[in-house]
Amino acid sequence: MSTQLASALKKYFGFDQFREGQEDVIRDVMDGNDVLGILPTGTGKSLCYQLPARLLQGTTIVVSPLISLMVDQVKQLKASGYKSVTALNSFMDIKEKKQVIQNLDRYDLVYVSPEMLQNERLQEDFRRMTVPLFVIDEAHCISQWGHEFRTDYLKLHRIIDSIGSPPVLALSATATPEVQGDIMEKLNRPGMIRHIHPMDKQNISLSVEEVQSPEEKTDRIVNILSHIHAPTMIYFSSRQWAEKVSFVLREKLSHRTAFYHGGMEQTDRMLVQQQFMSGQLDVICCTSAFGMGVDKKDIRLVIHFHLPAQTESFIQEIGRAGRDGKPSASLVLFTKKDHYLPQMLIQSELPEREQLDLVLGYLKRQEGQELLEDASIMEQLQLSESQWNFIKYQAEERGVLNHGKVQPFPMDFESRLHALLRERWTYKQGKLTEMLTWIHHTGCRREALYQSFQDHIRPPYVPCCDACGFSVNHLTFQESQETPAAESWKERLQMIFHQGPPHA
Amino acid sequence: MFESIVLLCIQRFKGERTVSGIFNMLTGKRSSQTMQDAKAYQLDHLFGIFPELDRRRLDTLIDEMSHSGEIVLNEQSFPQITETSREPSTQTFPYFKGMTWHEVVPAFIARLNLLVQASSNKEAGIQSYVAIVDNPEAQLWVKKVFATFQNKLARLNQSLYEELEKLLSAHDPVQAELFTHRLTGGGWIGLTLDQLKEKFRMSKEDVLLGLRHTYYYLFQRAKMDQDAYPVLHLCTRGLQASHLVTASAGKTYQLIAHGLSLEEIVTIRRLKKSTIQDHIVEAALVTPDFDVSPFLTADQVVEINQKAIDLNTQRLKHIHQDLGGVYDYFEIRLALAHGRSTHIERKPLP
Repeated sequence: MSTQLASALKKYFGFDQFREGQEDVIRDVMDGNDVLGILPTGTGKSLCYQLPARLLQGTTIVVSPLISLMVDQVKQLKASGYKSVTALNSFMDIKEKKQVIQNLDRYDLVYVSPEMLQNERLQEDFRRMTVPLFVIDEAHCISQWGHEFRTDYLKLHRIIDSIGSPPVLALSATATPEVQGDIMEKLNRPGMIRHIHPMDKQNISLSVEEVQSPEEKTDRIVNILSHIHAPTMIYFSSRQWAEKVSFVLREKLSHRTAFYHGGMEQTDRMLVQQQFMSGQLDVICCTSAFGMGVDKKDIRLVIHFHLPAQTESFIQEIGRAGRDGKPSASLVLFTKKDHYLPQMLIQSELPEREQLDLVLGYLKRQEGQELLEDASIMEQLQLSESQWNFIKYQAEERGVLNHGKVQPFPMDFESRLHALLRERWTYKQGKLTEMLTWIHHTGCRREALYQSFQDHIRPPYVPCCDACGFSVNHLTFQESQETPAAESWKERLQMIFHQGPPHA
Repeated sequence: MFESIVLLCIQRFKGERTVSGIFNMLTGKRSSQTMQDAKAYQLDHLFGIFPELDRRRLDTLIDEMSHSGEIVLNEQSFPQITETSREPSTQTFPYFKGMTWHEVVPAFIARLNLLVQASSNKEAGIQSYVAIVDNPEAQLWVKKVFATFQNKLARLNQSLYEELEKLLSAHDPVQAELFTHRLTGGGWIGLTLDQLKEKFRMSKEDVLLGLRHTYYYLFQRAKMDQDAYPVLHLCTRGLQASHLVTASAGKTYQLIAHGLSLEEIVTIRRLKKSTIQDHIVEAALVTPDFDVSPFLTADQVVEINQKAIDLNTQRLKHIHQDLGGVYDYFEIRLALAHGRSTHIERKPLP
């Protein structure tokens, strides 16, 4: 079986081998089992159903929460030569939709949004077809404890049963055992085989240090880096601080340092990312905007100058260290006042109650009309981008916004939106509290950080954490190779065109 | 360099234009006014060379220059040079030719940067990399070049290197530094603007202008001499000089060419008379053989132009008054525009 799978992998996707975790999931899926797979982002989650979809007879259904995500995936698959895939979504025009639906059984793989799946006619079509596998991507959306809770997901189990109870594969990148249990319960599949990719990193030492002021944080970083020469990331939650600290480091240290944030010009963003990837930078001062598609293996140290608003983000960010498996470390610097910043972040992400009422009133007055473009609405109503996105998304989902036009509100639209907002506030506050609790934890940090994600924490093969006796002062990384800088434009041109003395 | 360029604008504008006039010139605003100014004040080489200019930086510079006494702000608060002003040196940027090339230079930059990356990476055996230029047209173009030169890519790479080496050797050395350090390829990643600024201890404006000027230089040299710079010439192919008129002025121009009168055009296009007049002046500026006879005789054109030279001004009001109010402003603008584009014989500027 495994050689068969391996040759299919080579044939359809051009890969020589599976990444960690993929093969186990796929094998169980091919055997007709219900599977719950928790695989961190960047591990090739989607291959877990894309390969079976090619091999199984019939049409595999994938429920995906984001239309943009679906469209992207279909594009990518088509570009790689996999043509019999499509995405059904509310943005297709009627003709297009009709055409796809009429030929539904010709596709190997159909992406669909949970909202679309509520359509009776579509369910009817699926009933007549052979559906060998039903996939739920971003399955944490099913759980009220997952961070993108969506109510239409709750109806999935009925639909699955009505189309002949095909095997179910639920996938997610982050799900605590609590969320995992909830997913299985809501899907009514208590016997799912779990494949939980462990989150804990055995090669990363953890540490937290309290200081009195942001300036002291900077001093401490200078102090630490003066005896460490290795690829280092420093996370900030504000652009200004990322820039400011990078200037100080450049002034006080010989490390090649740059900043990176979403406010930079597109080309420069890419250049900084590429410089870091290719070892032409040692230290990068960045916001969470850095990272998409960055797979640098030899990052040795991740410092958090500011706290993220939830442990999931934190785990993901420190997970950028030590992808090569070699010893690495994480350091969080915090002051007593540091909870304000993530608090403000949450505030800028979610609208307040009064703001929501304001927007709802505005939308009501616009009924039957084309909505202005996002930027002018945000300005007119004084909303941040994510505040507006939150409301707009819900309005689109409930049909209040249809092709840019405002429709009459469904009866419970306002009350449900308010309820959802309350829930999101409570949830985000809870997440922040969790993060802060970890910062002040006095026992083993490794256990405290990962215990909500997995039952068993593996013993690290590096010093564990500050509570267990580790300190970044013990680190002695000296791996950055000073790449020779060009002395003159002639030399630089020679280096680029490989005309001069060769450099490794 | 930025300061020199702004000073040159101020000098040529003779205290007759605002700071916005300078800003519109450098960023290449497509308005009749700016295009006419470009010709009238001989600033067409600077038209559109600095599209990323930040208005606040320009204002700050003007403030600084007026504080230091380098320039004064006249009664209308238009900037003006003084007796003690330095003569703005045009030596550091002789290759700007904005009015003609500013529309196609960005395409040249995209092609060149991507070709250098693709070609040098291929030479170095680097197969997977992130394209430095996100522009699909440039990517398609490089793909085509690669397809055409399949078996000669090593030679193309060598030639590209030699062409750049040769041209840069004859170029301003600091600008050559900026240019080469901005390039990405062969495993080396280009520097960001911020990094260039710091490395060469220059202002952001000077970095941007130094780079832009180098691209203008390479573009024009390569465009002119295919034999000496075959690969760089390839990057310029299909990129044509622009005959700058706004789309709307183009329509008006077509109607005039069909022999319609100003009044008829006003009716057909349902535009204000003054707008149509703007279009006519614009067309006269960029069309050397533009026929002004429906509006002015050849003698009248000479008379008006001579007056502008005598008074050493482009201010319509002065010319209008000094000619006893015989000509209206449209006629004066048209005559000046026609004079600029046909180089009517005139006394040299004092």
